[in-house]
Amino acid sequence: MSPRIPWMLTCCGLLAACGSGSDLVGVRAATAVRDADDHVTVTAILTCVPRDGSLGGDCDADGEEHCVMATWDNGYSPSSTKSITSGVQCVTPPRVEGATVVIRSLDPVPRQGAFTIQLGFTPRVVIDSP
Amino acid sequence: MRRTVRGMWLALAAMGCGGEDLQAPDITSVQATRLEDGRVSLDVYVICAVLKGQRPADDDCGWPEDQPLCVDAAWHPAQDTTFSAPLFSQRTCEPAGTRIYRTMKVVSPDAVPVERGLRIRVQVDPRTTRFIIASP
Repeated sequence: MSPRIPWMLTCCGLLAACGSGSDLVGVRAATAVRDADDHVTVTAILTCVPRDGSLGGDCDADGEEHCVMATWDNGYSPSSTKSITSGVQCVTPPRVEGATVVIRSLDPVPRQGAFTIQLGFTPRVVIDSP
Repeated sequence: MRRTVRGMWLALAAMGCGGEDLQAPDITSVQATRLEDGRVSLDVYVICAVLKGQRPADDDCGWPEDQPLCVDAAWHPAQDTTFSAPLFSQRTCEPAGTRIYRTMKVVSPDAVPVERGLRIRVQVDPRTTRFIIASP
Protein backbone atom coordinates (compact mmCIF):
# COMPACT_ATOMS: atom_id res chain seq x y z
CA MET A 1 0.00 0.00 0.00
CA SER A 2 1.23 3.45 -0.77
CA PRO A 3 2.39 5.32 2.38
CA ARG A 4 0.18 8.17 1.23
CA ILE A 5 -3.07 6.18 1.54
CA PRO A 6 -3.47 6.36 5.38
CA TRP A 7 -2.70 10.06 5.25
CA MET A 8 -5.24 10.64 2.46
CA LEU A 9 -7.82 8.55 4.35
CA THR A 10 -7.34 10.63 7.48
CA CYS A 11 -7.55 13.84 5.52
CA CYS A 12 -10.76 12.87 3.68
CA GLY A 13 -12.34 11.47 6.82
CA LEU A 14 -11.70 14.64 8.75
CA LEU A 15 -12.98 16.80 5.93
CA ALA A 16 -16.13 14.70 5.72
CA ALA A 17 -16.68 14.96 9.45
CA CYS A 18 -15.98 18.65 9.76
CA GLY A 19 -16.72 20.24 6.45
CA SER A 20 -20.41 20.92 6.61
CA GLY A 21 -21.58 22.39 9.88
CA SER A 22 -24.06 20.23 11.75
CA ASP A 23 -24.64 17.79 8.91
CA LEU A 24 -22.49 14.90 7.77
CA VAL A 25 -21.59 14.51 4.10
CA GLY A 26 -20.75 11.05 2.85
CA VAL A 27 -21.67 8.37 0.36
CA ARG A 28 -25.05 6.63 0.28
CA ALA A 29 -24.62 4.27 -2.68
CA ALA A 30 -22.10 3.31 -5.33
CA THR A 31 -21.61 1.17 -8.41
CA ALA A 32 -18.35 -0.01 -9.93
CA VAL A 33 -17.17 -1.23 -13.33
CA ARG A 34 -13.92 -2.81 -14.46
CA ASP A 35 -12.22 -0.88 -17.24
CA ALA A 36 -10.48 -2.45 -20.23
CA ASP A 37 -7.07 -1.75 -18.65
CA ASP A 38 -8.14 -3.47 -15.36
CA HIS A 39 -8.45 -0.27 -13.40
CA VAL A 40 -11.85 0.03 -11.70
CA THR A 41 -14.09 3.08 -11.94
CA VAL A 42 -16.59 3.79 -9.16
CA THR A 43 -19.57 6.11 -9.30
CA ALA A 44 -20.46 7.27 -5.79
CA ILE A 45 -23.63 9.12 -4.83
CA LEU A 46 -23.27 11.74 -2.11
CA THR A 47 -25.70 12.16 0.73
CA CYS A 48 -26.26 14.55 3.60
CA VAL A 49 -27.24 13.21 7.02
CA PRO A 50 -27.99 15.22 10.16
CA ARG A 51 -25.49 14.59 12.96
CA ASP A 52 -28.21 13.10 15.16
CA GLY A 53 -29.10 10.50 12.51
CA SER A 54 -32.55 11.88 11.77
CA LEU A 55 -33.93 12.12 8.25
CA GLY A 56 -33.43 14.93 5.79
CA GLY A 57 -30.11 16.68 6.01
CA ASP A 58 -29.75 20.17 4.64
CA CYS A 59 -26.41 20.44 2.89
CA ASP A 60 -26.67 23.23 0.41
CA ALA A 61 -23.26 23.16 -1.14
CA ASP A 62 -22.74 26.91 -1.49
CA GLY A 63 -19.64 26.37 -3.52
CA GLU A 64 -18.17 23.97 -0.97
CA GLU A 65 -15.86 21.26 -2.22
CA HIS A 66 -16.43 17.65 -1.16
CA CYS A 67 -13.82 14.96 -1.63
CA VAL A 68 -14.44 11.22 -1.66
CA MET A 69 -11.71 8.69 -1.05
CA ALA A 70 -12.01 5.14 -2.33
CA THR A 71 -9.78 2.31 -1.13
CA TRP A 72 -9.58 -1.19 -2.54
CA ASP A 73 -9.07 -3.63 0.32
CA ASN A 74 -8.62 -7.37 0.74
CA GLY A 75 -11.76 -7.83 2.79
CA TYR A 76 -13.49 -5.66 5.34
CA SER A 77 -12.10 -5.60 8.84
CA PRO A 78 -11.10 -2.30 10.39
CA SER A 79 -8.19 -3.93 12.22
CA SER A 80 -6.68 -6.19 9.58
CA THR A 81 -7.59 -4.73 6.21
CA LYS A 82 -4.83 -4.19 3.67
CA SER A 83 -5.40 -1.65 0.91
CA ILE A 84 -4.02 -2.44 -2.53
CA THR A 85 -4.87 0.81 -4.26
CA SER A 86 -6.99 3.90 -3.89
CA GLY A 87 -8.43 6.88 -5.67
CA VAL A 88 -9.82 10.24 -4.71
CA GLN A 89 -11.98 12.80 -6.44
CA CYS A 90 -13.36 16.14 -5.36
CA VAL A 91 -16.48 17.89 -6.61
CA THR A 92 -18.24 21.18 -5.95
CA PRO A 93 -21.86 20.31 -6.60
CA PRO A 94 -24.74 22.79 -6.67
CA ARG A 95 -26.55 20.40 -4.32
CA VAL A 96 -24.93 17.68 -2.20
CA GLU A 97 -27.77 15.16 -1.95
CA GLY A 98 -27.67 12.92 -5.01
CA ALA A 99 -24.53 14.46 -6.50
CA THR A 100 -22.27 11.92 -8.19
CA VAL A 101 -18.52 11.53 -7.87
CA VAL A 102 -16.55 9.35 -10.30
CA ILE A 103 -13.35 7.80 -8.95
CA ARG A 104 -10.88 5.63 -10.82
CA SER A 105 -8.39 3.38 -9.07
CA LEU A 106 -4.79 4.59 -9.29
CA ASP A 107 -3.61 1.06 -10.10
CA PRO A 108 -5.05 -1.99 -11.86
CA VAL A 109 -7.14 -4.21 -9.57
CA PRO A 110 -6.24 -7.93 -9.79
CA ARG A 111 -8.95 -10.12 -11.30
CA GLN A 112 -8.08 -12.91 -8.88
CA GLY A 113 -9.12 -12.43 -5.27
CA ALA A 114 -12.04 -10.83 -3.48
CA PHE A 115 -11.61 -7.11 -2.99
CA THR A 116 -13.97 -4.62 -1.46
CA ILE A 117 -14.17 -0.91 -2.11
CA GLN A 118 -14.72 1.48 0.79
CA LEU A 119 -16.03 4.91 -0.10
CA GLY A 120 -16.48 7.99 2.03
CA PHE A 121 -16.60 8.16 5.80
CA THR A 122 -19.85 9.39 7.39
CA PRO A 123 -21.71 7.67 5.94
CA ARG A 124 -19.53 5.15 4.19
CA VAL A 125 -20.36 2.55 1.55
CA VAL A 126 -18.72 -0.86 1.16
CA ILE A 127 -19.18 -2.70 -2.15
CA ASP A 128 -17.56 -5.68 -3.81
CA SER A 129 -15.02 -4.70 -6.44
CA PRO A 130 -15.64 -6.12 -9.93
CA MET B 1 5.28 15.76 7.29
CA ARG B 2 4.83 15.85 11.09
CA ARG B 3 4.63 19.62 10.97
CA THR B 4 2.01 19.40 8.19
CA VAL B 5 -0.15 17.04 10.27
CA ARG B 6 0.10 19.28 13.33
CA GLY B 7 -0.80 22.28 11.20
CA MET B 8 -3.85 20.48 9.85
CA TRP B 9 -5.08 19.59 13.35
CA LEU B 10 -4.70 23.19 14.40
CA ALA B 11 -6.60 24.35 11.33
CA LEU B 12 -9.40 21.86 12.03
CA ALA B 13 -9.57 22.93 15.66
CA ALA B 14 -9.88 26.52 14.50
CA MET B 15 -12.77 25.44 12.26
CA GLY B 16 -14.60 24.07 15.26
CA CYS B 17 -13.86 20.42 14.61
CA GLY B 18 -12.59 19.58 18.05
CA GLY B 19 -16.03 19.55 19.64
CA GLU B 20 -18.32 16.88 20.99
CA ASP B 21 -17.79 13.17 20.44
CA LEU B 22 -19.98 11.28 18.02
CA GLN B 23 -20.58 7.53 17.97
CA ALA B 24 -23.21 5.47 16.20
CA PRO B 25 -24.11 1.84 15.50
CA ASP B 26 -22.24 0.48 12.49
CA ILE B 27 -21.98 -2.71 10.43
CA THR B 28 -18.77 -4.64 9.86
CA SER B 29 -20.03 -7.61 7.89
CA VAL B 30 -23.06 -9.00 6.11
CA GLN B 31 -23.44 -12.66 5.19
CA ALA B 32 -26.24 -13.54 2.80
CA THR B 33 -27.68 -17.06 2.50
CA ARG B 34 -30.42 -18.36 0.23
CA LEU B 35 -32.89 -20.46 2.17
CA GLU B 36 -34.59 -23.60 0.82
CA ASP B 37 -37.85 -21.71 0.29
CA GLY B 38 -36.13 -19.06 -1.85
CA ARG B 39 -36.03 -16.34 0.76
CA VAL B 40 -32.69 -14.70 1.53
CA SER B 41 -31.38 -14.48 5.07
CA LEU B 42 -28.82 -11.87 6.13
CA ASP B 43 -26.57 -12.10 9.18
CA VAL B 44 -25.54 -8.56 10.04
CA TYR B 45 -22.81 -7.91 12.59
CA VAL B 46 -23.37 -4.64 14.46
CA ILE B 47 -20.68 -2.72 16.35
CA CYS B 48 -20.29 0.82 17.66
CA ALA B 49 -18.25 3.21 15.50
CA VAL B 50 -16.56 6.32 16.81
CA LEU B 51 -17.21 8.90 14.13
CA LYS B 52 -15.59 11.73 16.01
CA GLY B 53 -13.70 11.96 19.28
CA GLN B 54 -12.01 9.53 21.59
CA ARG B 55 -11.95 5.75 21.32
CA PRO B 56 -12.99 3.32 22.64
CA ALA B 57 -16.68 3.43 21.92
CA ASP B 58 -19.20 2.91 24.67
CA ASP B 59 -20.88 -0.47 25.01
CA ASP B 60 -24.28 1.14 24.51
CA CYS B 61 -22.95 3.47 21.79
CA GLY B 62 -24.85 6.33 23.41
CA TRP B 63 -28.02 4.67 22.12
CA PRO B 64 -31.06 5.03 24.38
CA GLU B 65 -31.83 1.69 25.99
CA ASP B 66 -35.53 2.01 25.23
CA GLN B 67 -35.03 2.92 21.56
CA PRO B 68 -35.14 -0.07 19.20
CA LEU B 69 -32.11 -0.93 17.10
CA CYS B 70 -33.12 -1.60 13.49
CA VAL B 71 -31.38 -3.03 10.44
CA ASP B 72 -32.77 -2.12 7.02
CA ALA B 73 -32.20 -4.23 3.93
CA ALA B 74 -33.41 -3.34 0.44
CA TRP B 75 -33.14 -5.33 -2.78
CA HIS B 76 -32.32 -3.28 -5.90
CA PRO B 77 -32.32 -4.39 -9.56
CA ALA B 78 -29.18 -3.87 -11.64
CA GLN B 79 -30.65 -0.94 -13.55
CA ASP B 80 -31.38 0.99 -10.33
CA THR B 81 -27.94 2.60 -10.28
CA THR B 82 -29.04 5.39 -7.91
CA PHE B 83 -30.49 2.89 -5.40
CA SER B 84 -33.70 4.89 -5.28
CA ALA B 85 -36.27 2.25 -6.29
CA PRO B 86 -35.97 -1.03 -4.36
CA LEU B 87 -37.95 -4.05 -5.47
CA PHE B 88 -38.74 -4.71 -1.82
CA SER B 89 -37.24 -4.10 1.57
CA GLN B 90 -37.26 -5.53 5.05
CA ARG B 91 -36.57 -4.05 8.47
CA THR B 92 -35.68 -6.01 11.59
CA CYS B 93 -35.74 -4.32 14.99
CA GLU B 94 -34.93 -5.48 18.48
CA PRO B 95 -34.55 -3.84 21.88
CA ALA B 96 -31.24 -2.01 22.04
CA GLY B 97 -30.49 -2.89 25.65
CA THR B 98 -27.20 -1.79 27.18
CA ARG B 99 -24.80 -3.36 24.68
CA ILE B 100 -24.98 -2.57 20.96
CA TYR B 101 -22.58 -5.29 19.75
CA ARG B 102 -24.53 -8.21 18.29
CA THR B 103 -25.49 -10.20 15.19
CA MET B 104 -28.90 -9.35 13.77
CA LYS B 105 -30.80 -11.43 11.25
CA VAL B 106 -32.91 -10.01 8.43
CA VAL B 107 -34.96 -12.36 6.24
CA SER B 108 -36.58 -11.22 3.00
CA PRO B 109 -40.39 -11.19 3.22
CA ASP B 110 -40.78 -13.46 0.19
CA ALA B 111 -38.73 -15.60 -2.16
CA VAL B 112 -36.09 -13.54 -3.95
CA PRO B 113 -35.69 -14.04 -7.69
CA VAL B 114 -32.33 -15.39 -8.83
CA GLU B 115 -31.54 -12.42 -11.01
CA ARG B 116 -28.20 -11.32 -12.33
CA GLY B 117 -27.23 -7.95 -10.91
CA LEU B 118 -29.72 -7.95 -8.03
CA ARG B 119 -28.06 -6.18 -5.09
CA ILE B 120 -28.88 -5.82 -1.41
CA ARG B 121 -28.18 -2.60 0.46
CA VAL B 122 -27.94 -2.99 4.24
CA GLN B 123 -27.60 -0.34 6.94
CA VAL B 124 -28.17 0.05 10.66
CA ASP B 125 -27.75 3.82 10.99
CA PRO B 126 -27.85 6.49 8.25
CA ARG B 127 -24.57 7.98 9.55
CA THR B 128 -22.45 4.87 9.20
CA THR B 129 -21.67 2.08 6.75
CA ARG B 130 -24.03 0.82 4.06
CA PHE B 131 -23.05 -2.56 2.70
CA ILE B 132 -23.98 -3.29 -0.91
CA ILE B 133 -23.66 -6.97 -1.78
CA ALA B 134 -24.84 -9.29 -4.54
CA SER B 135 -28.04 -11.14 -3.71
CA PRO B 136 -27.40 -14.91 -3.70
